[in-house]
Amino acid sequence: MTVFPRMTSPYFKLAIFILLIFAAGTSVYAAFEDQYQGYLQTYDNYRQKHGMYLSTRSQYLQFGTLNSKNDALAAVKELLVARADVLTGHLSLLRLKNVDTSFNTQLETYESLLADHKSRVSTLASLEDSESLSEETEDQVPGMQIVSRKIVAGIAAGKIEAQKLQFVLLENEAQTLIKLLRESGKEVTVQERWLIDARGKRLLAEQKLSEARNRINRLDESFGQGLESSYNGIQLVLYEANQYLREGLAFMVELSESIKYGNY
Amino acid sequence: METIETAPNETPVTQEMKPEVAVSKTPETKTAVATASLVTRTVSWFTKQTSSVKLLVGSVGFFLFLLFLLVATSLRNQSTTVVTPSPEASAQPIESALPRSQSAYSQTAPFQQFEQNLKNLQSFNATVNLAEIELAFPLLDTDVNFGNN
Repeated sequence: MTVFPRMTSPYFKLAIFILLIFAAGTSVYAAFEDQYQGYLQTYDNYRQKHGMYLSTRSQYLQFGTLNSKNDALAAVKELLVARADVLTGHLSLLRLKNVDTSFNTQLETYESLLADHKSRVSTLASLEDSESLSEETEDQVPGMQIVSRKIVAGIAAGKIEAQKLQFVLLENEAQTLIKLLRESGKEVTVQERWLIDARGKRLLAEQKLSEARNRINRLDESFGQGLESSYNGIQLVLYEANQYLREGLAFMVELSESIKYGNY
Repeated sequence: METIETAPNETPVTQEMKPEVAVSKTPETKTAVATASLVTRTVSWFTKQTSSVKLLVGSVGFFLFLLFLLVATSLRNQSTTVVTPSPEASAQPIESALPRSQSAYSQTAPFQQFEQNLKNLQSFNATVNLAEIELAFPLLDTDVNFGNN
């Protein structure tokens, strides 16, 4: 009887809430790790099937016998399934880490296309049919690559964004501390200087973040090698933004140290 | 034995010692003359050579000079001793920072909260993973064909 009221207290609810958040975070991380290990196994399987495909294809092209043709058909069927599994695994990983819900529809479309592709592999009766079916998926790969790059770059940009928001909160805290010191008649010129410098770095990081977001939105225009170089460019800009925040944090540390060891 | 007169503090010099001084000076003079003639002969030989030979001789001399510098430098580096830290505890370098007195304001709750938030953000910034290697797009064969297309 005495336990039940305690369970309804705000502290208890808060503790339960924190535990639930922690459990959710841990389960998402564990789910991703499990999925990733499964993905690696799928990738290994694909490599084996690809080796078989290359071997049987080579024999078929060299000898052209019925036997080698049947072997090549069996190998290419396994390859197509394994390749679809790798792509599906990659899309599942993206779905677990994706923070932008606008990509969910595209991910679902690609997943259903791959499922359909896999179901049709067993009906293949000739090498020509296998080529046609493979081509259908191959045509979708550039689109999948763009979505994948956009999601991954978006995740990285989200991390920079989160840091930036925390940085702004720190700036506000520092501003309050300086204000309190000034009101108590202390000299705070040095601390104000550090804060201005830190804010300057944060603004530079914001510029870089904005540039990265613009480039991410323009990724649709990139194809093939252009996509790779555009994506690398986005990564570089995000690293620069992170570096600016790091430098800003170094100024914040100077501000903190000057208060901690100063005459205050 | 005839003795040369000298000052009270000087060592007496005998007449017999004179030829010895003369003998000892003779080879030096000869060597100087020989060296001078060798230099003169070399210079005269060098001036008579064609410009290509002069260039060759100069190059050889330059490379010999470089070789000498190399050998001299390597010998000097070999002889450099490495100072190792003393095994005695009292002689070990001190790594801890000098104690500094903290301000009273740094003990207040707002400042400590600020400091903690700063440390958290620093730690996150230092370990943030922007590359997302696990999400790299897989390298796949996207040209499956048997020579029909």
